[in-house]
Amino acid sequence: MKKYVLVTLVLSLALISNLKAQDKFITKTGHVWIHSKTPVKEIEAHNHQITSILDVKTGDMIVSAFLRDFKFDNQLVEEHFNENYVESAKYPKVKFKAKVIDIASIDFSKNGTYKRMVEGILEMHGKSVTIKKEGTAVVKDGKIKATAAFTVTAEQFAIVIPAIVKDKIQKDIEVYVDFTYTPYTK
Amino acid sequence: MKTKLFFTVVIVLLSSTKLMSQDLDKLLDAETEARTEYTAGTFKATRLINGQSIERMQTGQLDFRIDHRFGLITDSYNAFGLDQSNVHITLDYGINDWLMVGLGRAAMEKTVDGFLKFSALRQSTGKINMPVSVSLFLGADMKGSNPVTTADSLYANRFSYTSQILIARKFTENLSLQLMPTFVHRNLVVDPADQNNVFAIGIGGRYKLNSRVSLNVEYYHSLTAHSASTYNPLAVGFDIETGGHVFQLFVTNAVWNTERGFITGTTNNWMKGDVRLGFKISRVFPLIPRKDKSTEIEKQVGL
Repeated sequence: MKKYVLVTLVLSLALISNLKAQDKFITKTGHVWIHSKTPVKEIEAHNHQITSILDVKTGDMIVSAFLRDFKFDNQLVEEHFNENYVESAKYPKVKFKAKVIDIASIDFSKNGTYKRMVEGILEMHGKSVTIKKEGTAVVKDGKIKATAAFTVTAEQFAIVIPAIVKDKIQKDIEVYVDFTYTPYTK
Repeated sequence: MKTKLFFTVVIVLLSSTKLMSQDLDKLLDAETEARTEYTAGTFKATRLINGQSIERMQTGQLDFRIDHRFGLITDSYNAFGLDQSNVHITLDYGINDWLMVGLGRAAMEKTVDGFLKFSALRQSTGKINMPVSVSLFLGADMKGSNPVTTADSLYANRFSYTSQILIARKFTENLSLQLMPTFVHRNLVVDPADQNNVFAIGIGGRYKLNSRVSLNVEYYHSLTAHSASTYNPLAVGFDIETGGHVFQLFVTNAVWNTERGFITGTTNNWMKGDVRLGFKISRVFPLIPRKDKSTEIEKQVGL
């Protein structure tokens, strides 16, 4: 009898400590969009179905997105993006594994705006590219709104842009990130 | 007893610390819900060559198409067909996620044609597994040329209708095949050997030679007896993607551009080499842009 009481006690203690330490935040509707503008053509695509988990204790951050979920204005451009450039049938996912530097100095229990460097590896089209850029986190009522912007080039990911369309695509393609994380519960 | 208790505590502690340091990767995988991956790009265009493919325009996308075919290659007097031309201009529009409409005008018999194309099934893997894509095509042709006989002058006699079930499967990134059971009804047939109701089966496919060029083949076989001067249409061609266009270059024995026309009214025999050069150009205009630009963040962060 004593044994069971003790085990239950220990178990419930472990559970409570787990619950208390709300150190993981998640979003499943993360928004990322890419933008390119040249005098000839403006191209923009949005993805609203991005999953990301942020560990505010360690600063670990992980993002997963499907390239097929990027929606373009023009159907033909979307098909070309998937078939000829990112080859989403072969490489369906984009992954970003990163660390938020000096996350420990942010008090996530208080509302406020914080800027921190984020450094990580972006995996796409079979290539890994290191991205380092400052991101903004707005903490409001237990939610974290994280935004950032950076640029990538097609060459970094070994994506060949033929000469005929070169003047239609910006060399540095802009990437914007807008995630609203909520506490992770499970 | 005490040792047992000790082990229990250790195990519980261990398992809880394991929970804490759980790999974010695994957590993410657990959170990524099962998806249905719909097969995209079975064909490059909404037309295989002469006829339809299972592809459709997406919501709000307008496709302006020009179908142009020359005269017979065997006709040396007309510079091997280059002196002659036969044009069909169409506007196709994606109403929603499963319905596309089209309106066209063909020079042949001054035909006005219209159609509806429904996407009934979509090839997919994952949560929903579907081996094929199926589209339903319903089209109507109206002859516009001046009547030559009394039967011709009757308004109802100017109409013909085509119904098709398009069944396609993208076997690999490069190979897609399509089967097209077809029913054509013509309100008026001139030759007594011809039938008002014609059943035909079409078969076709494409093989991608590289990411921008594919080789296409399409053949319709009539299952209904018809006059001796009518042949089954065969077409062989290439789909070529340029920046903003899909360009289709082909040879075929069909002079007609509309479905009922080339299925029931092809009068040249490809086995005798009576084929013509043709091309189709497709230009897509997004009428309803899918933009959901949130400019605020751009102002916030800037580059």
